[in-house]
Amino acid sequence: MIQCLFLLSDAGDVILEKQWMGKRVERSICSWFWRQRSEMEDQDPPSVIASPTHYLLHIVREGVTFLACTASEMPPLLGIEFLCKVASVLENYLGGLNEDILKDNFVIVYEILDEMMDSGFPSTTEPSVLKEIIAPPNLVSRVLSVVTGTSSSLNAASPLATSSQVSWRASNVKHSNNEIYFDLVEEMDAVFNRDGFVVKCEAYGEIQATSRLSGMPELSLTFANADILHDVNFHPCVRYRAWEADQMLSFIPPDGAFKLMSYRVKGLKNPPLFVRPQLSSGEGICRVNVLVGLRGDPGKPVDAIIVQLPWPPSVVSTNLSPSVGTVTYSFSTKVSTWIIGRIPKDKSPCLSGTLQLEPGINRLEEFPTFLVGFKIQGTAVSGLKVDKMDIRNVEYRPYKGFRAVTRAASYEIRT
Amino acid sequence: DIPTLLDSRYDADKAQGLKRLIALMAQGQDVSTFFPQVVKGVASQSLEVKKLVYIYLVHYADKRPDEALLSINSFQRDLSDINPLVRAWALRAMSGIKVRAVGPLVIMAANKCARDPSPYVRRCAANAVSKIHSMGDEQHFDELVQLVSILLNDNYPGVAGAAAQAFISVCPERYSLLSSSFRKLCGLLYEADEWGQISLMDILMRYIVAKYGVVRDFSSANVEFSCLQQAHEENGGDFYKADTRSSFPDERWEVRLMLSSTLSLLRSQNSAVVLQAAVIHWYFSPGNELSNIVKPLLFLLRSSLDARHVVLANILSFSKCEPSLFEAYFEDFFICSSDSQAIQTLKLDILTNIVSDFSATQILQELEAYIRNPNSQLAADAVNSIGRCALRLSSTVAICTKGLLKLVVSRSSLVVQAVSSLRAIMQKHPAEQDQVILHLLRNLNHILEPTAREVVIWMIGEQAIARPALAEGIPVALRYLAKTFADESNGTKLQVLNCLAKVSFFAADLYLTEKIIQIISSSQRCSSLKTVLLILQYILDLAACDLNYDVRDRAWILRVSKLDPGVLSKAANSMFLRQKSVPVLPSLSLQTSTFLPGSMSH
Repeated sequence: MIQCLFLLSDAGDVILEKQWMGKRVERSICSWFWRQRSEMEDQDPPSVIASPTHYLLHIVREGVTFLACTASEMPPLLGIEFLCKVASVLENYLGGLNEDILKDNFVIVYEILDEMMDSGFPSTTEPSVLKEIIAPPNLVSRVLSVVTGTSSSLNAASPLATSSQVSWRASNVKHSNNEIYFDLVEEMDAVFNRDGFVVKCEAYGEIQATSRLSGMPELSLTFANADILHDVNFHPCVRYRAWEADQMLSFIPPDGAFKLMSYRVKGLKNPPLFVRPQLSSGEGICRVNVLVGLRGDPGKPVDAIIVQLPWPPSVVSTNLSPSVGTVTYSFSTKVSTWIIGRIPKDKSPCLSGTLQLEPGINRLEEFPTFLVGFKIQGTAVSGLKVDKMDIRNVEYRPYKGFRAVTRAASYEIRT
Repeated sequence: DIPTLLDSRYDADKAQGLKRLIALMAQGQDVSTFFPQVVKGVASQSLEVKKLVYIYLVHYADKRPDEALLSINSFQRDLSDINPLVRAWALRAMSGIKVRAVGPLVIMAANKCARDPSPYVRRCAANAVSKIHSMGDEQHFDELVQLVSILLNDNYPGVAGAAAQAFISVCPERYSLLSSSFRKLCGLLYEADEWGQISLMDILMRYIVAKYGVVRDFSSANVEFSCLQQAHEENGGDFYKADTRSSFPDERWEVRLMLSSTLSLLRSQNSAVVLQAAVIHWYFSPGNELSNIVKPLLFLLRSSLDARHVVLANILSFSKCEPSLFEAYFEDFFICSSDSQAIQTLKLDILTNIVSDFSATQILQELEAYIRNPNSQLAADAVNSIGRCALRLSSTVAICTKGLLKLVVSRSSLVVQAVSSLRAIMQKHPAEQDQVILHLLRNLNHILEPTAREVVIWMIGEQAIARPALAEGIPVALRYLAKTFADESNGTKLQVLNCLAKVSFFAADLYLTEKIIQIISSSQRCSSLKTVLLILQYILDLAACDLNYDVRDRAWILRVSKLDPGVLSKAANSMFLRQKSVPVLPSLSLQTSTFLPGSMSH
């Protein structure tokens, strides 16, 4: 059972604490945790650590550390998933998640935490249900409270979400404009070895939906090429049998924004960018030449291209100049960042220059791994296509929208 | 000003005061002195004030139980309120007061709420049961068990989930409660909320274990999961003849039902649910269906980044027992630059466990790429892993030794790992030794790291006994060592003495036998034997004057044992010339295979 939860700032100070069991857990556990963390230098400690008195589970979101303590046996992932849920609910409610926002909204946060966990075990965690019980702070209600002197963070009526047939949707949702949007957000992971060949290339994607539909609509979504999906997992609202039988997503959507499914497509052959690095070293100097270009045709322009070049510790200084874009070097982290933006049609971006090695080291023995970032708006690079989407059980015709975007997640080039 | 706000007539002021109190509470300050004033507000009509008062009360109820008791009447009145939220809060507050005197009252309240029309209140009742039980009062145990069984039979999946949790805390051994509702609970599994699913799976699994006893007792230290299959056959007869049957015998229908109900949960978005379902399948699934858990587990590594560490630790345990499950998916364990140290070691361990003939070249190429990585810890671990791969798969020994020998010369920072790995490989595969030892001998002057030198010298000593083909090289090496003896580190000096002892014993034996046989071609050998003995004498003299007492002692023992031909020399013989066992290169991360996967130990 989770005994307590601390929210820590990025300096290790306790912003908020919530205790669920009668016996109070002392704050000294936070300073113990912080000491462990600083001992690990710039790496993250494992999510589950055993201190002399408790097990500590933690996640980090935007600099705020969510730290949960438990003294009894429980599945560790239960704690971690709960912390993730807390973080996403708070972000949903407060519109963002950082130290200042939390400090402005102590009471709401405390009420949410109180409702989400009952005596150490997670209780109500669906955002739509929580919103019926605890109204989120927004500008209108703040203004109202100042003007009329009353502020109510509660609905006087009993929450209908607690009595509907499905636990994630209230039975009387009403919207004036009925619409539903689907966003295919993909991330591409690729590893290139030093000869320029692809070691591994795969895409991880999520379908994020925003639904503003009235009543209890029944949706069904089919894909044109569902067999390319290697792995999938679904929101609890999706009926598993329909997927098993015909690869059709059949579900009653929760109201608002939710993640419908996440999937992975492996063995892709079309990474959109190539990077050709050449490093030759001798006599304390290393000559660098890095070429970046498009390969294949993703169909839409590739934007926001940025290359991170983290140099090994034996490099003392760099002298690099790009043909397109700008290069900045950070002395503290020894990372050069090359911002290209979009590749122009006539020039191919090329970075050349020299690196100064530490005195005493003649040749480069360790070879860095470059990280590439990019964004492609409008296309899902895995090739997944939505075939059609039907809505039943409603009298209106809603507006349906689809969007796709691809980003680079862990796109590595070995040298 | 907080007291004035709390005492005011207006609800808005009261709410404001309470909010300030709660803000202070959230920051950890103790505001229990306001208890009497806050408690007065419990009778307020405003929902908001009520809610805030209840939050405060639940937090401080066990610190000020007597004062909380005073408002028991208003709690009981609120238990019959129209609004289900209010009923739930009242029950929560009552069960939070941990005073034995009110135990019966609270149980009555919980009983009433267990039959409430609103599922939210019923769920609250289930949570209250665990709280009441934690008071430690044994008198009401039967009533509590009764409550648990009523709630377990509820039709609403959310309530059943919370009841499962209550079952775990109150009466985890009462499997009789579950036998009647087993089928129903399996049916509710998919519709319950995520947390309920975890508790339900837990109790269903324990029920099956208790009924069929298929799981071995894990308290013995040397149990490996691969024994599970045998245990099943002992216990259940033809339970696990996976290749011949596709359906279970009728009396095992419960296992079958549980497996099929949890199959869909492997696709949940909640990583805790997926892992729990995977653990159930791991324990009970017949061999050919076990592969169902592999893809969902691997997907977790990408979809839930916070859960990676725990999932990898569990996969490590699985891969130790059944490497074949993960063999085809080795790509998922390649290391990204954003992985933390702990995750890197786990992935390397898993890669060495699952290496097979099919994947060996690609995995070794990956390990080679990691050796070039600027992260020195990763490079060292990768060298270790190459050694372990070679120990596991004999087909890779040649490639690994070649690679490791190259490293010995080129990368001074990795020499220690390279040489240790080579030593382990040599002990397991003596056939490859000649080339390796000769190569190392030639490069001995390049290897500067003392630990590495010690290992090489030890290897020379060991092999001299077994491989006379090296006899020409040994005196040269010994001469070199004699020259550098004074400058070596203490550990290296000890190793040199050991090596000399072994060589000289062997040489002495050979000398004696040669003398007896008087073979002419052995004249050359005789001279090299004499050289060896001379060098031995020289080094023993040097060592006798060494600054370090360990070195002096060992030299003294060797000298004495050489002089005395009887017992001492035999003892020295057995000490130095014994057959050494093949070392097991330790795995890089913690050993957890004796603990249950899915639990906190991983």
